[in-house]
Amino acid sequence: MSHDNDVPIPPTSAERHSTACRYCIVGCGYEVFKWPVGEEGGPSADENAFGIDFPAQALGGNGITTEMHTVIEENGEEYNVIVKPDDDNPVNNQWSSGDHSVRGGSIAQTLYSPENDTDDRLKYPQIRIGGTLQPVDWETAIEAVAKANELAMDRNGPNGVGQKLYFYQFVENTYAGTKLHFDVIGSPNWGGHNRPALTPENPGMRNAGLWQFAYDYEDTQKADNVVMVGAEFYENKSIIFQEHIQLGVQDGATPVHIDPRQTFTSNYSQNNDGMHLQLEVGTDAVLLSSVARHILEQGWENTEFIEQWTMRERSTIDDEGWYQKEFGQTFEEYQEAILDEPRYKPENAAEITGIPAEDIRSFAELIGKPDENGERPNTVFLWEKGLIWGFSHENSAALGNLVLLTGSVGRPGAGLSRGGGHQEGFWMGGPAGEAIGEHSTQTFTTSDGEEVTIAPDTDERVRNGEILHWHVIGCDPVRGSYNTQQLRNAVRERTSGPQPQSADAEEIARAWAERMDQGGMVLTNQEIYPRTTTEFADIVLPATTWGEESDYHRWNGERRLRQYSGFMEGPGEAKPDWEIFSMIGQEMGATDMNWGSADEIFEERWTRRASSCLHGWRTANSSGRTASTSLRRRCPAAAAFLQALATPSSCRWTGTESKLSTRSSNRTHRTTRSG
Amino acid sequence: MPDDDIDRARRRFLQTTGAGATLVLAGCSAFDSDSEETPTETPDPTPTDTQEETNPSESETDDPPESPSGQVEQLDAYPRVKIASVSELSTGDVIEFEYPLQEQSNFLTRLGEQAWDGVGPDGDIVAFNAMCTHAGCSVSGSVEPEDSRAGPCPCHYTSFDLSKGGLVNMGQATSDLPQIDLEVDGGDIYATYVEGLVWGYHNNLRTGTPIEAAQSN
Ligand code: SF4
Ligand code: FES
Repeated sequence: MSHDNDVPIPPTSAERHSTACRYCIVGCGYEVFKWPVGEEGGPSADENAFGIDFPAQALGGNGITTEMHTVIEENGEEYNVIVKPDDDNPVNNQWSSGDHSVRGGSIAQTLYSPENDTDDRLKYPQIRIGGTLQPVDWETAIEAVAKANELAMDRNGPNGVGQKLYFYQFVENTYAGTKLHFDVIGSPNWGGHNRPALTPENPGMRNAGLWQFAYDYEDTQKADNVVMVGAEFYENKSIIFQEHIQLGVQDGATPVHIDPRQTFTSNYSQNNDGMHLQLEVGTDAVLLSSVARHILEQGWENTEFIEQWTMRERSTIDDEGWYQKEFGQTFEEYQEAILDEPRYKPENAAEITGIPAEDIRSFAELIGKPDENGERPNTVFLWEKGLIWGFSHENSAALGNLVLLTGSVGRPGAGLSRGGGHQEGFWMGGPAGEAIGEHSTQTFTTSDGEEVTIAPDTDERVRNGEILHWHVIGCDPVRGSYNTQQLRNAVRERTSGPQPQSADAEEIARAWAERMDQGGMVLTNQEIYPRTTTEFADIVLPATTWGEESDYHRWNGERRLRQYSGFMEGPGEAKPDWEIFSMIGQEMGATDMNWGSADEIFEERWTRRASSCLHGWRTANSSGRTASTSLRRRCPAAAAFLQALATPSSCRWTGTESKLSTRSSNRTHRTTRSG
Repeated sequence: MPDDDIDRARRRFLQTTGAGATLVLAGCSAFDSDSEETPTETPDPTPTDTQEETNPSESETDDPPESPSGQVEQLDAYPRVKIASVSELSTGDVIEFEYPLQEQSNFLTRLGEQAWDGVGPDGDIVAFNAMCTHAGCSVSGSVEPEDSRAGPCPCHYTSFDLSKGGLVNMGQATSDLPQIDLEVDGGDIYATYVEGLVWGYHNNLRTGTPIEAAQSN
């Protein structure tokens, strides 16, 4: 914490950039002011870039804290930079102006400067020579990456190469990275930053036909109930809580927190005529399904919605694909399964979940029971890791079923969305389905005995030797994966074989070929800071990040397109990720990756995508400051209920388990272990 | 607690160097907060004595900018101002005062437990600026001396630990609540300095009317 006693005021001549927070899914609006050190604005409105009289007014969005200011260096010149919340943006200006969390309020402290803690950024490409990372030029580094790909493909085809890439660091970068991987290389071995395969994070939602960002923040202000599952909203999704949910609650909405932890959000819910359902860890699917059972028993289900929007014929569901065929249910099948399952009787569910039966019934009444005029309550369902990173399919399907049962989608004050995590910056740039369909070596056996090809678990393929060159971008798998220790040991062992003794291209190729032939692997790490994975890397590619050089795009949790301005240079010779992918692709012979800017990538994708389904994504105008919904399109969609039977291992109650539940649990384990 | 001692020692060091830097800037040793001597007079805070008319673009880089219009008042150094007597302050009391500018409202309290930079016989008397460092709402109505806490702030619930230099222990603020340095002299408590930027200001001594000299003795 800084104890500085002053901050400089930006002069009217300061450069001004509109951008969005570098952190969480809320996607708050920010502004950046940049001007040479030595110049300063004055405290009167006509003397500064904010146009305000200092001191700034409380809640007015124009206070500058010492953490919002930093000094950077470019070409030997020093510049003041202030990164502050935008005081005119619908995301973080509802109850107060320019609201921000502790994270957003200190973005300036993350900017690169040789004078502060960010000085350990990666600045030059490096190759491990004789066991030690040595700086090399970009040409040598890119040739080496292409060579590693070639050597791996010579030995194991496209399956010899694996890529692990973030899902969030701007659509232009993920588009370029996946184009390289699925189009140029054609490999099926792809993992996201938080999971080892190209699988959905909320399989139950997606396969029920629900889009996982189906609301506007404003809906929480109009809702009757805001149900928050497995997430801490004040601490982790602060501004949706402070600027939106709170307004809804002040207006009479009932907050419900479903979480094994007692946190701020639980206290808040209890203190505001709401509920905290403090369930036993891992029992979400039982709790949510017993709520569904009470709704069904009382006849509170939203028949109109179910008739209009869910698939009524078994054959229609079967046509949707193997997942729906395996797990999808018509309403009648779902109803029968829920009513037949003794664990879902509130009294039995109470024993398993630790939630009293009367609370299960009250919650069901809150979200299900129509009022005396037949009006149905409007509920917004928000969930996050606590729900989905456990029994991913079961939990997300159980919640998805409740959304369908109550018809909580498509009307003001109702909806569903993720309640945390990063902003969404993933655009697929290559034919992933083809690469997986043609080359994946992983299958799933359905209950009909059908062998279905599925996206491979890349971590497993790093461990079992199938992947010979692993390109890891912007994540640290040897420090955070499932079964991390085993993965780290495999990476250590498989990268420790023959080492090049000079930076000569032939010598590099010789050593790596020898290593691969001995069962080893070459590791490329494309990063902004050295991390644990970097310790094992053969090639290190330094990347630029938020605010550096390129303009970028991604979406927030209500599908609002956020635009990010590049306002400063990156450290040393670091390059934007898209440019690094473009250089590798061209080195490997691609002729359609020679983009001149991130904007060209955005246009390439947007033009292609605009004619098809946009999943209801929406855009802001070019300044990024005002919302518009002009580009909203609806996808043709139909929904289906899903089997969401609870996993026995976590349940204390030991009643009769149906044959179906045992079967499906075993099988869902196999598909969702990577979720 | 050894860890606390280390932190306290470090803080003292920072505090001393911080105050020194301010004094060099102000060029005025009569109000050295580390001085053993009690100044007999506080500075006359009238605008004519404390303002220099400079154009911001011409001002030295170390000097905070001033209003060319000359409308804005300011101080050159932190004054030493009596705010209460130790004997009048019981555990749990909260006294509000302005320092060093009018409308910079602070609170003085006695926690009943030793605090970082606490003064008085038990080292438990502390003072802080009352403006929440998140977005400027006042936490003076939510000071809880028995919990050594200010907050949760009525606006977005940030809460500060008064025994640990105003440390943020929950919430959205990025910096500690500014602590007012205190001295006890002859049973009286003096405010001498503000550690940390008061929310909304670009400099704690600028853009406001200095507190009345009459209040200060
Ligand atoms: S809530 Fe999220 S987007 Fe908003 S300022 Fe905080 S980290 Fe940034
Ligand atoms: S102003 Fe105090 S928490 Fe926001």
